[in-house]
Order: sequence, then C-alpha cells, then structure tokens
Amino acid sequence: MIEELKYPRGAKSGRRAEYAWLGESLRLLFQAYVDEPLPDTFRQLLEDLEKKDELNGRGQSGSGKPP
Amino acid sequence: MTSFKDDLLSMLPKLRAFARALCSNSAMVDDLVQETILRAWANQSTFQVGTNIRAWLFTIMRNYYYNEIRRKKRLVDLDGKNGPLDIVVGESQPTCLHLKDLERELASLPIEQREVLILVSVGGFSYEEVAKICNCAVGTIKSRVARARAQLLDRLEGADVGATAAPGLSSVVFSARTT
Repeated sequence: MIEELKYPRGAKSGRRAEYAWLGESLRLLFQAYVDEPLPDTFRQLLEDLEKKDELNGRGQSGSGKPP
Repeated sequence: MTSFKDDLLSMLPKLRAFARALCSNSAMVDDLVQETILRAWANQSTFQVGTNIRAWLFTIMRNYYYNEIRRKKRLVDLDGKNGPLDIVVGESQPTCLHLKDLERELASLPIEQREVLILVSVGGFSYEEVAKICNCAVGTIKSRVARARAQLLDRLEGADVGATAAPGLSSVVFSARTT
C-alpha cells in the first residue's frame, strides 16, 4: 500500500517548494518500486552461488573498485 | 558481522528499484539485477569491507547497463517499453495516478538526467558520491539534476488541479493527465 502524497513541510511557494514536492513524489515512486515483490530467482541465485563457492572458498577484501 | 550474501540480499529491493528507475523495459529490469548479482559475487574480493556496498552495487549495475546499450546498440528496445507500475492503489487513488504520471515523465527524461535525479533525490547519495558512481565531475551532476528537476516540473504542470496538488503551488499540478 503506497503512502498518501502529502505536502512537505517548509517552503510553501516558489521553486524550493516545487522541488520539495517533486522530491517527495520521487520518494514515494521509488518506495513503490522497493515494495514490489521480488522474484524468488534472485535469492535462489545467491544460494546457488554460495553453495558453489563453498567448494572453492573465497576472500572478501580488495581494492573496492567496482567491476 | 553479516556475510557478503546477507549484504546482497538486504540490498536487493533497492537494487531492483534502481533498475526500475534506470530502465523501463520490464524484461531488462530483472536481467540488470541478476547480472549485477553475478558480477558482484564474482568480484566480491574487490569489495572493501566497511565501504559503501550500495554505491558499489549501483555502480556495477550502471556500468553493465551502459555496456549493454553500447554493445547491443538498442537503446530504444532497452528503454522504450514501459511496464505497468504494480502498486497497490487502496485509498490513495490520486496519489497512484500521480505516481503513474510521474513515472511516465521520468522515463521520458534522458538517461543521464534520470539516473542522477534518482540517485540524489531518493538514493540518499551526495553529489560527490554520484559523481564517483557516474565517473564525471560534481558540477556536471549538479547541472544534470537541475535540468532534470526543471524538465519534470515543466512536464507535470499545466494539467487539471487534482487532489495531490500542493496547496499554494499554482504552477505545479500533480494529477493524471489525459493523453
């Protein structure tokens, strides 16, 4: 269930108020995405990857640079 | 201490939400998430424990998305088919209509603007962090966010005054538009 869109506190008019309203709207939209049910395939994929790695073993620290 | 798998599991809803915002092709969304999981897992040794795994994962997803666009040269196919927003309406019909309207207009923004707007507005990232994720200057990110906001507001205004319109905002109207 999505939240009711409410007028954000703060500025009541002008560009700042428009941005605040837009930001609140985007937050609700993103939250609606977050709340969507996740396909179970992702969890299963992680389970499979973990099982596969249990046979080999892996480290966890490194450069921090994304692939 | 949580495991890498637990960290990934906890990030899945936000990762998929970012994919939804990045790419409106519903088939591509789950491919993006799956490929991000595979790449993150295969490269977990390059992740520095204690750093921001959310930024790390979003960067992986973004890099893969852009690589796919370049490789397949099918931006329209990847980005042109809107899946329905599957949200529970309940008693928030005006809000739901507004969000569907917003989703459509957001999807019509150039991808460079859409991604930074999402990362800054709802991703909780600073301009500096987004600049690092997008591999460009902070000033570029700020101008993209400003252009994205202005364009969205321009596109959303001018319709009928609906129940979701902010009081006192005569120039901004958030309601369903007839097309």
